[in-house]
Amino acid sequence: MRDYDVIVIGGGHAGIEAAAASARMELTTALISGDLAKIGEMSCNPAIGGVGKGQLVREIDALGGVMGYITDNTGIHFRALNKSKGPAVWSSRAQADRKLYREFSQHLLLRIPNLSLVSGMVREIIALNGRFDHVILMDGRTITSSACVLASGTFLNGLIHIGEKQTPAGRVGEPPSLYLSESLQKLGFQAGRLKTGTPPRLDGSTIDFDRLEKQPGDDDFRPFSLLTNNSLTNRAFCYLTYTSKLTQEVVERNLHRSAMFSGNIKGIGPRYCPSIEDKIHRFRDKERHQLFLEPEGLDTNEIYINGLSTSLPEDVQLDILHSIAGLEHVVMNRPGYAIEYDFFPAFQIKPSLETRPVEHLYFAGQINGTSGYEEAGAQGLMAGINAALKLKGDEPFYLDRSQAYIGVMIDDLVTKVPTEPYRMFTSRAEYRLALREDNVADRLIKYGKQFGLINDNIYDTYMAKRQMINAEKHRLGRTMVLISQIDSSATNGDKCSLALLLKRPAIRYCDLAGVDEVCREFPADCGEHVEIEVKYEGYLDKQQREIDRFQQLESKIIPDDFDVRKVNGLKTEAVGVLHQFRPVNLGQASRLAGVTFADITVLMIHLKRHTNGSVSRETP
Amino acid sequence: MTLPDSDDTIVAISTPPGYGGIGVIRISGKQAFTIANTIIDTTVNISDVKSHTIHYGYVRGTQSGSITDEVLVAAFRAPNSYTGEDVIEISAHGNPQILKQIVSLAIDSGARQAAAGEFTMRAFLSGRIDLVQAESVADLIAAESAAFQQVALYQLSGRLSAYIGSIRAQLLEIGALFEAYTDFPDEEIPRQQKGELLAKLNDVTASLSRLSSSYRRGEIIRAGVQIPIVGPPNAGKSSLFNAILAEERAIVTEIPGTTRDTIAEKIEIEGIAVRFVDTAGLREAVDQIEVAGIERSRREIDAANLLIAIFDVTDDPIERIRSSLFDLMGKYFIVVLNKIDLVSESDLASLDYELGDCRPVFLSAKTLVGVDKLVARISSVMRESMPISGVDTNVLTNKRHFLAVQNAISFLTEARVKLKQGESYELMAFDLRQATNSLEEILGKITNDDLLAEIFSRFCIGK
Repeated sequence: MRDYDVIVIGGGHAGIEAAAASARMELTTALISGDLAKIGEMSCNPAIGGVGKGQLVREIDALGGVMGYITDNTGIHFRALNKSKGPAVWSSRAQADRKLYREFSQHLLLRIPNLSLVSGMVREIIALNGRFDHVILMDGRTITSSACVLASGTFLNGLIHIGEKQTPAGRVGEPPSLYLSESLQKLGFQAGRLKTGTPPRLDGSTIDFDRLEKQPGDDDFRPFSLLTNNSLTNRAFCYLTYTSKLTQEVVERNLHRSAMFSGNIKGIGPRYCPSIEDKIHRFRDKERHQLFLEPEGLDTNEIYINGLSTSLPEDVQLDILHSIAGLEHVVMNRPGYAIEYDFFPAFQIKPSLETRPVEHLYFAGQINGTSGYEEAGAQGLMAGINAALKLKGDEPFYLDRSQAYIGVMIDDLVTKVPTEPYRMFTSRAEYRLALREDNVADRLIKYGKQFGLINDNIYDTYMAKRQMINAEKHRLGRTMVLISQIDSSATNGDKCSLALLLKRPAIRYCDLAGVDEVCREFPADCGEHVEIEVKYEGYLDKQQREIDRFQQLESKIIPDDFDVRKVNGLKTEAVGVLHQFRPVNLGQASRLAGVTFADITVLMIHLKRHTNGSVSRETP
Repeated sequence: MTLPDSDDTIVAISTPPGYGGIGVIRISGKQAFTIANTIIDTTVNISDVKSHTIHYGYVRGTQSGSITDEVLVAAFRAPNSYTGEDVIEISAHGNPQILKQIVSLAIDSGARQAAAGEFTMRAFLSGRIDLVQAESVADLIAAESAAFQQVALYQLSGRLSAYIGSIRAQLLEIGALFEAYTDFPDEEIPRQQKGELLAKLNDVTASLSRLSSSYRRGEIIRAGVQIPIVGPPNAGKSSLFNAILAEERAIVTEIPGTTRDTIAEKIEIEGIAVRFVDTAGLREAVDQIEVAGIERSRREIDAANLLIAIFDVTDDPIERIRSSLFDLMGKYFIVVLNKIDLVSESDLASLDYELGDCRPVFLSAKTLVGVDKLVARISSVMRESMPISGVDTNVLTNKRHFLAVQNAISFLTEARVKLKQGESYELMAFDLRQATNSLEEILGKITNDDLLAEIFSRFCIGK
């Protein structure tokens, strides 16, 4: 008899989602964390969402994950980014109260039946005959389970750098996991090294906010979660400031003392979230760099300075801060640092996030080379769902690139060699116009319901809303009005449908209220949804044709027992890459570097013969 | 349509059907060398010979001790061969019976009869050539003129692919900027950079437009120039047709309406294939067969690049020309006045004066006087009014390529309009991606097996 069905190692954003999903899918689950009070910690900035990331949070929510719900309940400043651009790239972002986020997460997990929180550091993962068996903790305890999700974040051989000073740690003030990585390498996993950084934390009472540009939240912010009924309140402000000429001088004078530049750090850092020394060094011509001052919480003065991640020594960090407008007299609560950690390049996992070397073992989050809470959370949810599905004897759950950002991310992970921590962007999604925040439920809620993670109530509410939107679209298409009623430049008596009017870039749904009774009464959020679908219609049709073409290759499954090394006619390079990454379908194969279309054609011919007679399985 | 297997060894006769000085059989695939060794007696073991060597030997007969033919065997080892695989080419005597026997011997030893275009398809699958290059192989074989041959060779060399590839690279660069600004929250492209982007977009669109407009030239280069000879019954159309082709191709009689069908023949002028068509006279038809002939003549006239309108100088030419001009409107045409041997110099001079604005060519199809002037006029009209020069530049000759370029242009035009109107970047990024995809389709980077099967099925067997 095993202790649990599923063990989740790590209480970060990936671990929380994995544990919640597995337990809510009715499997006994243990979340093991080195410090239970730190479950739900936001290790870096106190914000959830952002461009490309807001989409991930809403996708997690539509599948029945918890990140969006926690954020709605602990957020103190909510904003939609990119509102000047089209709805496909509108992205939600929230500042959360760091302490509240942690506490709310812990309470939420404690209320889930089947879920136990276990305090302890895992020392070793034990597999028998290529199948996960149990874990051994540092204190010698053994915990057995049928499946395991490893979501260890930056803890695997974590090493913190502040200037010349190096400290082994998983997060500042917490010990690293020193044996787990070796235990995995013993099982045949191949490790790599990545780095990420975090900025200093400031004492807000010593900041001259009056001189800085204030950034309020949005009044009409749409909650992240389908579970949230109430509207959200902004209870804090963010502020904007900039680096100065002096900042540049300080950084350049001390560049050799940065852990990044002295050569102490071997791991590769993210291009997208560069340290301040990196930014100043690389973009010398740029006179100033934008910085955001973000509140850490309601009952603390602590301020997070977004954009100033650094691994320079403490004294230099202070000089830099004092060179910034509004921060001339600031007190630094804690210096910024860079952290290096082990990760496992994701050619070692399947798109279900199950590892190839060890069955029933799943990897989620930074261990797969990603960066960011949202990326981690999404993987945690997928790993939790898949661990549960497999134990129930069901097929794995995949999302493809045309269905969700989650699908894009996992596909990128399993088809590309990581050169830096992976962060989500909307430009990574080729079917971006179809992957919007407003339509997450249309895309994903059915899966959430299928797995029992979305309750009937939520689903019915969604369905009712969907029907209302469809009916309204239909009505707009056949309701004719005088154009001159809404467009004063139209002088003749021409009529056109409300739908056609709404297609015009300058006309919003709320503008129709002036000429149409029903529009005045229609709920605003549904109205916006109608507007987006009407305005984007032409694009979505074109995109759908692209998606149909994409699906042709995606639906050509490469069976597990298909050995590419036995295929004649493939180039040697292609055989090597295909053997390493083991793509599950021809679409994935075509996205591997080193595989040409000619190789895909050869594979296609061989697959036809291989599957002749047997029924080919469709991707879900 | 499905693609044939790619890991077996294929064989086919690669020279045209019929009797010839020699005939060549090509074998390609892993077993090419072993199969050659099994069916051919040589002093060396063919399995061991070096690449790019030629060996003398005998093809064994079906009965032991008998021989089929005396042959030369050329050996090419992968990847330095036409298909990129091991290739054996057997040069035998050009008797179809012998060649067929050698093929069946190869098949008995494990080879498979190649499908149409399969050798070239393997060259594509082995990555030796891209799709544009593969298509140019079929063109090169079918080329009927020096110009088309040159264009096909140019495309086979990969230079057109490289040009399209360079445009694709520019599109990727522009697209990356739109992508970047889509992902920078709340940032707009600065005015100056927007101007530069617009200029870049214009440049790329202009390059593609030039490429697209080259298709008209490409079509002429590929299909040749169509020149129907039209005119009233008995004006001497068939005689002129014969005079130009300098051979008795059509039946010439005194009875109007003798030519009931169109007869066509090709000659080369200015390096371009020119197809002259002798048409039935356009008059009220007397019988059924003639009606069909006239119908066909109308179709020829519609498809014409240039018309020769011929009139009989003895048969009230001025009135007939005036009444025909309406039919010829909108087309390039040359007015020919035939049978000058039947009228006086002074009559001709006055006709020339009356019809000066038509610049008629006076000739006699019977005595051949003036036919050379007509050919010279045809060449000058082709030079002046048809884009036939510059075959060494990037010319589209393939409709598939033309349509894809058109598609790319229309997406880029969309993007330009949106950029000017200040619309949102993700929409321009979408257009740029679509345009890039169109170009990738040309090169065969994005395609599907149906398309491949269709392209290669247009080849002849043995290529």
